Amino acid sequence: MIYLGNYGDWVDDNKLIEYMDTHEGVMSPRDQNHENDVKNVLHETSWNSYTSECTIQYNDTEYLPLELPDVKTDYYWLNKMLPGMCMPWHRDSNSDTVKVRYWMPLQDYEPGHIFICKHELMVNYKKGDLFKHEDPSQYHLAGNLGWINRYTLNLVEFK
Amino acid sequence: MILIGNYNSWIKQEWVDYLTNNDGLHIPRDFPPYKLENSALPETGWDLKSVYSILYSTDNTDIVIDHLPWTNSSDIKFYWWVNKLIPSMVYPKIRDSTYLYDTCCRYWIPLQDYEQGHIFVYEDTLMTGYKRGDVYMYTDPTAYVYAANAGRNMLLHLNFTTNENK
Repeated sequence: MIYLGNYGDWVDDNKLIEYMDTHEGVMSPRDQNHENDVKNVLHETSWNSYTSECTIQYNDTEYLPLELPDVKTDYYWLNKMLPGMCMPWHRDSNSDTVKVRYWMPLQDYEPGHIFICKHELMVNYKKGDLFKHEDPSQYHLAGNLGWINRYTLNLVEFK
Repeated sequence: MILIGNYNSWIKQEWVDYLTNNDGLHIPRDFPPYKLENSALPETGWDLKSVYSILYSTDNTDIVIDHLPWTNSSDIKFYWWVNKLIPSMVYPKIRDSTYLYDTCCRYWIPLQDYEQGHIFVYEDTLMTGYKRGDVYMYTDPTAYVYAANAGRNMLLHLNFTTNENK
């Protein structure tokens, strides 16, 4: 993961955590109505893609337009993970169309909040730190094995 | 974590076969006396009626472990247990609560080679690249650890608490 800079003030200005805590998201993959790579991964294991509650997603681009200063992005989704939620090792379903993939934690690092890309566990980051995936199709996973909710933002620039 | 060495030849395949093919204690759901070190866990959203791990020990298996191959001392008292996590199981961040002795050393021994999606974190360190039978000693026996199986295959970890004073 390549560190690009800190957008902590931007996170505060957009009240992203407050937005997630006051709006209903989509329980993924349980309530997703399309087949994606997470579901495909789940089908091959003992995870149940039709009942699993891995993360709560928000991609309300119409209601919550987001634009990062000085960074071109075309699409975003927010993730809220309650303690105990975990995504399987996967790559995102839009990998073939993505040129650049970004990841931004919306809180300071909290032990138990995991994001692993390749074999690297992200630690000691700050709220609003922006990271670029070295390879947008890289397999990765996220989970909340800690004691407080975990909030992150994912952004992509399409090809 | 300090890598003591690899003791794969000491691990009996019959142990792994037993652990793989037999059920154990579903913790914390089926283990009423089981107490996680942090009693605040239920207040954080973790459900104590769910299953974080399947536990095996001398209490529910016939597996006999009568010595620690990485030490010549026969005076060391120890207790062992195995955590089995099937894909999708997650084990919360805790400090281990098994304090059986006045002094304590802890060891963590994977029973498989490292696989992507198999997560064991000691403090802020993700354990990767390990081999079956690698013996790691906790640098700090009170450290936070947590685990998850976000992979495709079963995960098996052997744990020891000893009365060594290091």
